[in-house]
Amino acid sequence: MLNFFRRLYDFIVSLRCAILILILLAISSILGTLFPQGMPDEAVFSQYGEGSLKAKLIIFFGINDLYHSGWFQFLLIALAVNIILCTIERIPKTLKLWSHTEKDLSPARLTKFSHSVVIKSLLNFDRTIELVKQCVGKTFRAAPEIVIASDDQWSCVIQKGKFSLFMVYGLHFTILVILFGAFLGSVLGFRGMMNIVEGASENLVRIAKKDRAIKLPFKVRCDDFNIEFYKDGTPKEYVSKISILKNNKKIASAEIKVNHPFTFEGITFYQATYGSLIKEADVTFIEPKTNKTFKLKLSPHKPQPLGNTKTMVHLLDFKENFSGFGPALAIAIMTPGQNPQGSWILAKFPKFHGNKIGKFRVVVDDFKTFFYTGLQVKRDPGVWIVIFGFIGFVLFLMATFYWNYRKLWITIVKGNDSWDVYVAGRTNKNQLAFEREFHRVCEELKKALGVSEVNS
Amino acid sequence: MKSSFVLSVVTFAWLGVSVFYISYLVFKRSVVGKLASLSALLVVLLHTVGILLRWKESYELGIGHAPLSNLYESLVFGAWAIMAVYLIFEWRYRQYNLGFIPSMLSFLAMAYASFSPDIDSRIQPLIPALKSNWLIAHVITCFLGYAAFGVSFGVSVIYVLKKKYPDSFLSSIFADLKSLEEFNYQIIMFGFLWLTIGIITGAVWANSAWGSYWSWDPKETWSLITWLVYAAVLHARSVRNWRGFRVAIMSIAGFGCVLFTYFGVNFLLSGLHSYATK
Repeated sequence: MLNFFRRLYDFIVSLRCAILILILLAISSILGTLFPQGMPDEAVFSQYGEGSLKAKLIIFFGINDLYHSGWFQFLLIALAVNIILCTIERIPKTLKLWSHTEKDLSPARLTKFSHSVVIKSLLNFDRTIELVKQCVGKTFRAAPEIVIASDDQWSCVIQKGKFSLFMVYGLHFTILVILFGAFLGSVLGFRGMMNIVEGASENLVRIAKKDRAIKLPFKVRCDDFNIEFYKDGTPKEYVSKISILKNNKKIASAEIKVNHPFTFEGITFYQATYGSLIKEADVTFIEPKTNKTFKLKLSPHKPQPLGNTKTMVHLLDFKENFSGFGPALAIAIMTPGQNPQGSWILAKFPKFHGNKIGKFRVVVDDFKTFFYTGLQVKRDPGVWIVIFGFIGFVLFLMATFYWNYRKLWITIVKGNDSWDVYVAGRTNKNQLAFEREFHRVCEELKKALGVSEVNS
Repeated sequence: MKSSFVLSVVTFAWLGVSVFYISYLVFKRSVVGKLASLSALLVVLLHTVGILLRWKESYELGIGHAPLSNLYESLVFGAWAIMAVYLIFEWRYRQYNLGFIPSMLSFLAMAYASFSPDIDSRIQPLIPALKSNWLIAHVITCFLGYAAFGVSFGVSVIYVLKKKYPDSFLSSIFADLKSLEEFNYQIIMFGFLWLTIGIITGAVWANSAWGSYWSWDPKETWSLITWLVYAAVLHARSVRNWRGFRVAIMSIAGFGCVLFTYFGVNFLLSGLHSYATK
């Protein structure tokens, strides 16, 4: 049993597990772009067939709202756990590298490095040491740390960018910061919609996908909504002028446009949608048999009698664009003792044969609408943590990529008829750049020691 | 001079540059290589002039905005970015013989932008959702990333061919495998950095325009998938010491994701980025 857990843990901290999670995340994300998201279960059944296997599978695995489904969130949590455990697992290795002290600086070891050079100095021992120290310090721009200084051997190491070993931990930590900020925002904050008719005020925010509303501690009044157009007719700007009311007193006002939200007491309002509602309509009812006409002025919630009859006419609904046929009005008539009758009447097509309710032909002569603005409302206390995480991630990414740990090993020992300077170098990344730097240091050393021949 | 004229000259100039780079591979004369490099630099400058002119013309039409707002403009900028990124690396790593694939990609992008009947090259006014300074930061950073991945794709194809056919004519003309591999890795890192910044600027922008930094819109999701693929490349290389061939294959697959993020999402899936289809 213990063995099983050990093997499970070994798997979780392996790169194989990380890659597996990344692949699973990628595949499920692809799935989410192939199926429409945010469809209610009923809509899935009507699209793929009631009781069909496909519909059942989609609903069972939550593919209609994949990114919020339990198993997708589980994958995200698994990724976070994997990142944390892998990091903890690797810290000891890095610390070992960090606190590693050099003991073996023998020429035999130094010549095994992939970057390795021997320079034969004809100067005496002390002078050679002094010049090597000076020259390397200047060209490699770091101070030599002397390891061995005896009568017949002098060895040192020179290193820089040692701190870069930890940058990769900072990088992975910022991913956790971003996830934490997003989590905090979703727990402590809210996001919803608010539709406000021009002139009206509202303090309820409908929360997306939940039958819930949040009451704001103030009211928002829409003073005006406007769409500006370019000359060619495409929309240029959607503008809502709003006021904030507390105890019916105006305490702030703002203009909200797309890309220009407005924040008040930590709650931000974004221009999201708009729409129009019917204000009043002039409608003519014609009875074809008798050619009798009735002219009516209708407005919502105010039924009007049809002439002197007992039939009442209701204006029920309005659509700005009814299946591509332009504005349409939903009108119904109710006569006591009869079933109510109603239909959508197309305003721009007076001769349309479907503009009929019961025995009447109906023509819309004129109508007036007013706008409502649809504001997205959000409170997200995690947003600054997320942005902080973003900035940190980019900085740590640059440091991880371009800041490297470079180290030189130098040993001076007695050769046949000279003092031999063994130079070796190693870096953990950017090999080509380091190769050039190593070459430059060796060239400078040769110049300083007045030697021309170099055996590498 | 009109920007449309400059950009059509540039389209064919990229074909010319590409021919220079091929000639260098065939004749192996360093003079030809330097000529290819120099001509690429001149065409990049002309391309820059074309983009700036288009920017100026949009102001003259009274609808001034950076030329980064639709499919045509993004293709033009993408073509510019591929060669700009390639030239930076060519100059830094002194590899003059890899320019054939990037310049060909630039030519194809420009030709597609200019000649496809589905692409509208007129300067259009900016829709309200795009009216933000984040537009410039977001598009430029994303395209620097895409461009680097395009260059890496070219290097990877050469690497794979060279590895598969070590005795062919191809392998004698390109740099040794070790420097190709290092070159490829540097470009992938560069691309990954810019794609990361691109995704982040997009998220911050979405947060200020719509109130949510991540909506799982198809474009966002696919750019995340692309990001994950390259993250996998980087981890496989640094932790498991994958080198050369496998990295090259993964980079080719990654560029497939880039192309799908850019074209596939626009044409096959709908979402918040639908303005990028025309």
